[in-house]
Amino acid sequence: MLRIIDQYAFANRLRAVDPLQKTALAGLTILLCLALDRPLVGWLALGWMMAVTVWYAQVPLRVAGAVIGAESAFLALSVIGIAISVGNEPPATALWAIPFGPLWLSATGGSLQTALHVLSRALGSAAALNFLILTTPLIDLIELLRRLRAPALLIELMALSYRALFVLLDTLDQMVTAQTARLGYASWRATLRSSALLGSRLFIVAYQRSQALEVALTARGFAGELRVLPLSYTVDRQLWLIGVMIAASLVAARWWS
Amino acid sequence: MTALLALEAVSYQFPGNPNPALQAASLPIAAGQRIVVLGRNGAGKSTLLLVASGIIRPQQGRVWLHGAPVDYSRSGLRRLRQHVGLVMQSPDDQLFSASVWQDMSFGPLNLGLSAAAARQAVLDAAAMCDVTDLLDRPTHALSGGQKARVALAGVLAMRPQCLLVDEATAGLDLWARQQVVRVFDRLVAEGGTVVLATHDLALARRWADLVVVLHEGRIVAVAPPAAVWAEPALRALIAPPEAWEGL
Repeated sequence: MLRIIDQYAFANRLRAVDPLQKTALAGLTILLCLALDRPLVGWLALGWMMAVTVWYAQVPLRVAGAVIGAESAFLALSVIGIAISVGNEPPATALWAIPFGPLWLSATGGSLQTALHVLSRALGSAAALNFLILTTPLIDLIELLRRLRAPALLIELMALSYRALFVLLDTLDQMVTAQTARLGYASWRATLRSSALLGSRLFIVAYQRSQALEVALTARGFAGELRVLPLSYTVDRQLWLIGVMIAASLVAARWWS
Repeated sequence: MTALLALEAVSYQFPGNPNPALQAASLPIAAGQRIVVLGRNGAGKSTLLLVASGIIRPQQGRVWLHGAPVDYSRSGLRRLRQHVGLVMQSPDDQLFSASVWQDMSFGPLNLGLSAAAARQAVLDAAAMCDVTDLLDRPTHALSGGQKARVALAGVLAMRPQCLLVDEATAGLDLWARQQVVRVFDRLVAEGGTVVLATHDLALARRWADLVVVLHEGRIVAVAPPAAVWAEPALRALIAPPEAWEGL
């Protein structure tokens, strides 16, 4: 999933748009979802952000859908805890109740409403965040943090971690292939052993790579700070307009509901 | 004539290793040369390049730059790195940024160039290595050959006079290797020097002006390829007999 998200973050139609603009749109939507606090606002934000991601940024629906689907599955697990109560006897206001051994599982109108409320807010916010991650590579977000004068150490750690992540993923793939070719995952016992060896070996490789990277940085004059040229971006006026429309419709939905 | 870079009786032994990686190695490197360093694994090729680039300080002997001993202070090393660039064996060890553009700008900015001058240096090096179309690509999405050329361009953006290359052509297909060699040729044509550590005997024979043979940390020969090829004792130190067939 990580590689797929990264791939579309680099390949979508809004790739060259200033990350500040995309972050502002996602941030505003999340803020409105939380501040306006109505289920309709959350559902509307979900619809808008999916539409902008798929229609405007041209991220395939199956990708945007898969990401929001995975998040929905996690959210559903949390929301079930809000919607369903467990007790010795069902409450008088229960819409439905089923016995579960000596206990009763039940749901009331209020609990279902609260669950839906939470779900709508969370999904609306998640869709806004998905828009950001599916249209903006992490290097652009790191660049944004640099422009916003975030601490240099934080930025450098993020940049190096992001780069190291993919190098280690490639190494991991190669190691797994090499282990698989030698029947490393042929049984549960072998899988456990191979996984343990993989973890320890990966740690050593990561350490060795960090040493080599230090040599390479030193050879290029590293003096304690990773100084690089800024990236350049465009401003998308239409996206501003879409942002205004989204904000206006969310506010209108709040008063209407 | 003063050598661009010179090693004078340098020795280095890694901590915990009983055998010295480099023993009393002397090598003058003049401008405009194509030098290939040959030797078995562990012969000291990488250590020679690390010492020459100032990454490690020799325990004995000296490194000279333009006739003056290298000063290992921060400013002295900065001066050395203005003139001497090092390309690592694995580009993944060298490319630290996820953005090709930003990775290539790292060296020029460290040399104290202005943003405009660094931008121009990046564009020039990208054009030289034929990676201009990769500048806005993420480094992790590049092929092996593209990574090698970007890593090379990142060092060339510092406009070094002497380029030290540690087996950077290993693992590349023939087209990618040829592209990299073409970049070396352009650098030499512009008066630069390339010192390439490699196991590629065919490349050494065809391309080098001078071959340096290393064995157990010692430089045992510095000679044109034809002279090395003509000497069976030297050939035996570099590769088994089968490897020389047809060369």
